[in-house]
Amino acid sequence: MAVFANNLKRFLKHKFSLIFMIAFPIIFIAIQFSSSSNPIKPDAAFIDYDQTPFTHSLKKALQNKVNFIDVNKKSIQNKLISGDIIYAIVINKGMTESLIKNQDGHILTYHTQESNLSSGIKTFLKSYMDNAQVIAKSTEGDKSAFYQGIEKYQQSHSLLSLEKISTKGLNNSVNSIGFVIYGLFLIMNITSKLIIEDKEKGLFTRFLTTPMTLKNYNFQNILSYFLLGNIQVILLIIILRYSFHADLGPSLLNIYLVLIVFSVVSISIGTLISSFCKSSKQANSLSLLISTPVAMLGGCFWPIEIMPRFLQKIGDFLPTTWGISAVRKLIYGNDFNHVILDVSILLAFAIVFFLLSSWRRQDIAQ
Amino acid sequence: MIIDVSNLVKRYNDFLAIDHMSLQIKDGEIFGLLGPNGAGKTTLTKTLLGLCKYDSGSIKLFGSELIESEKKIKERIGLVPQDIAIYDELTAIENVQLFGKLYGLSGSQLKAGVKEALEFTGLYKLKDKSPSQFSGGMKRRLNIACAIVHKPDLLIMDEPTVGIDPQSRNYILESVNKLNKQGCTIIYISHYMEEVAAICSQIAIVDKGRIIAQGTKEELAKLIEGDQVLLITVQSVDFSTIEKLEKVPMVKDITLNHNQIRIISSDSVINQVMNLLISNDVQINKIVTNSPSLEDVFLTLTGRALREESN
Repeated sequence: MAVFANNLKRFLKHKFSLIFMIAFPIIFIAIQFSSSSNPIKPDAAFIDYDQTPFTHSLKKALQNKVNFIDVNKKSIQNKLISGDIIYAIVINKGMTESLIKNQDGHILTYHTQESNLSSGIKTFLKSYMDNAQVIAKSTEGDKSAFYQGIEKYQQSHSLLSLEKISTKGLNNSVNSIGFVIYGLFLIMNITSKLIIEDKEKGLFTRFLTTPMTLKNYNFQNILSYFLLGNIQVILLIIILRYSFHADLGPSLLNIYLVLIVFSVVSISIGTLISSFCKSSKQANSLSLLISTPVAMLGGCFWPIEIMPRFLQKIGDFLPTTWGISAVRKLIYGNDFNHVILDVSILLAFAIVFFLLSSWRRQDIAQ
Repeated sequence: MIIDVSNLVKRYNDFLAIDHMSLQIKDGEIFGLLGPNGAGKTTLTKTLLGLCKYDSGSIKLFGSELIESEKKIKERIGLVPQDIAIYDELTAIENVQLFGKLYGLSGSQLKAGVKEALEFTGLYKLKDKSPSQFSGGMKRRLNIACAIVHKPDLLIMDEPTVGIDPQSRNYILESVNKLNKQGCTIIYISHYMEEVAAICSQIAIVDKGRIIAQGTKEELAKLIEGDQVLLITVQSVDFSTIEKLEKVPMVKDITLNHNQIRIISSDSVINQVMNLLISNDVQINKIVTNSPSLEDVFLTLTGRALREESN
């Protein structure tokens, strides 16, 4: 494992690159968290045909997180499509009455897609209505007892639960992970640089005159970069979780696994660049030229949904898109089964890039 | 035989880099390999080291076929590449240790090998310094230390003295002799004929993928025995005069290097040459006659100057 151990020594000598790989995402994450301390409330519609103290208290609870604007029922669809509102709640006349009588008291909700914010409101509404039904059941149609129960519930749970389902934290986490993924993408820079240096100085050829095989050289190189990627991922997760208190979903292990797979993709691109470039300057320029646009198109710096359709289509062919997609799903509480497709696509990227670089290096060696 | 190459052929598409070459190198020799650029020296070296596949023929090293026992064979070979292939970001000792490990050394064996290699090249006191602080000659010596850390039975040295001061050059040449006395067979590739002539027990001249002459320095000199070498330094000369000189009877080869005309002839042509130069108004500064050197042998056999092409 001489090449592996040697690479670890060499990493330590490239202090600037290492600091860049860790510090760069952290700076952007810090900016992200500080700039979003006062989040802008999105607009929503609340059409109340019932007009009872219960519906009023529900509206009040929601106003902590959304702005309610005047919208009539007919224009809900257009407003949702145009993005003027992210959610619409319609309460029909008699809903509170039905609820108190322990009958079917339900509210209607409308939203375009399961965004993090809309799912937050949905979760809150469901929790609120479930609790209201439990209170209605226990008060057996007694209106004043029902309202007392609701008041107590609001005092003890409402604000807390709304804060809990607040999407501000999730938004920040997803956006921060975008910078982490960009940081992982920078590993390709050091990967290609070190391999190219070996070639430039004739060390690559010299190594192959020793009993070490080309496969072994490649394996040891990749293993050392993999270890570097691991250290980077673990450090960034720890910093995100424990310094910025980012909500990284129910399983840090799942986030770690996805980021490690992405790190492998980044290493594979680095090895591919090194097999095509003739100088470290060329490799450096190429890796920077690749990493930034690919990160942008993949949604590392902003949500992919805000980009034009054709750019989103291009994004489908980029590993960053699948990395962000997988991490977003995990942060929203999905388990690893939901990201198997994304992770498989990332692995496919890595395999293709490794095969291409291996074929190219074999060609050069011969 | 430590190396037995038989009927070796290597093609790069349509280009025949090695043309049915056969070569035998005995154990304990310092074998000089001379040839102009593109002659096939590098391809031959790469093939011997298993870096490139060959089309036909056979290569036996240490009595075993290269294809069959590549790993075992490589453990017994050291390469001093023409380019200084070391890490500037590692110290001298770390560089030598790395190569020791690559050749399978570990523990006390590695420690002893590294110390010996650094002492042999006179770098032990500087072992903790970075090669970036070294002079060209010291870097070349470190390049050698990395190749001998595992005490190879065969050492291939490709232009080990390019671009260094005379003191370092002498140090390296002395080291080559010392290594050879310790039992290491050496293939010495160089453009410096005087180096090859000074240290090599056998010399092969390679051109167009073939060995066109092989033997000791004396045996090679015999190939142009009786020839004479005339070195004339002039103020200036035009090509039409050189063309006229080529037509002088018995002139075998003429080269013009700056203002020096080198004429190899099968008999004395000094009178004809002087007359021709004077009649063409060429001002002569100096005339020297020599018996043929190894360089003259090379010039006669290949028709090309060696040193010019290396620079």
